[in-house]
Amino acid sequence: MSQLNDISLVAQVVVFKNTRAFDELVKKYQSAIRRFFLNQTLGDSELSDDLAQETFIKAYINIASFKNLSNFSTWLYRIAYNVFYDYIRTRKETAEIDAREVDAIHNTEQENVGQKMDVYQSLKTLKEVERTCVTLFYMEDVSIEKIAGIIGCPTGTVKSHLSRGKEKLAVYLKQNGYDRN
Amino acid sequence: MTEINEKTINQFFKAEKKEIEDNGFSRRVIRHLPDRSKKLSDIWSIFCSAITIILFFIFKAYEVILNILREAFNGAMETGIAHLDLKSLLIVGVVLIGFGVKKVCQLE
Repeated sequence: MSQLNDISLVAQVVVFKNTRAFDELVKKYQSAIRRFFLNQTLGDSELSDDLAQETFIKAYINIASFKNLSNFSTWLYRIAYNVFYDYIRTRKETAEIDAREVDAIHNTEQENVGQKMDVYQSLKTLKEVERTCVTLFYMEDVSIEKIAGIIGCPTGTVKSHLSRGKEKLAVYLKQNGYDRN
Repeated sequence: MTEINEKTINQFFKAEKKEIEDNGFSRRVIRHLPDRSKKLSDIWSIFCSAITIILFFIFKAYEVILNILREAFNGAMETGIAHLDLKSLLIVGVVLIGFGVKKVCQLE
């Protein structure tokens, strides 16, 4: 039902350039996409909102290329993933810094995300791609097949990223007393 | 990876999953959509052009332009008519018409 509604909204945007229909799509998916970026940037809300905005604008520009082969949310996550990695690539090119330093730059936690500190600290222990797989799988309930479609690699690779991510997270959670819960 | 760890990770992320309030985010996105920006920019251009045309007539700018042209023409007639080279004038005219035609073709 929800997917049918999405298709109807997408059709209105494609055919009539209906910005109200697109507004409904933005309202529906803004939380998930902004949360995705918050997790990737380890809590930088300003950067997350900028990247989320860029994601929705790109989705609007390329909405005619949405072929309904996947859910609208999966298609949107794929754009978000590309936007984030384009951002990282630009940062790497301009600053000529390695992945660890990129992580450090992203780690500009805001004061208002105190309660999320633990989750961002735990995600900090993961590589970017592991972070993407882990947050999509555990937080957003996206299946391994869909994650493979989003990050553009085989399901086996996603499983490896998830496995490595889980091992690192288990160590972090044990060190911080979560195993006693 | 034990069963407990898998469950713990699941619970850890589920507990941290919070809905994010819109707080004007969608409005900001809609404001930045390319077509909408283009439409607003077109409306602004039309508005500015209309204001310019109205001011042009209110302040009788056409009279100023006519005066300048008249003075320039009179000056040219008084000083330059004696030395006017019709052949050069013809060449300049042909070149200018050529440029004009080329420009119009490019626009199409």
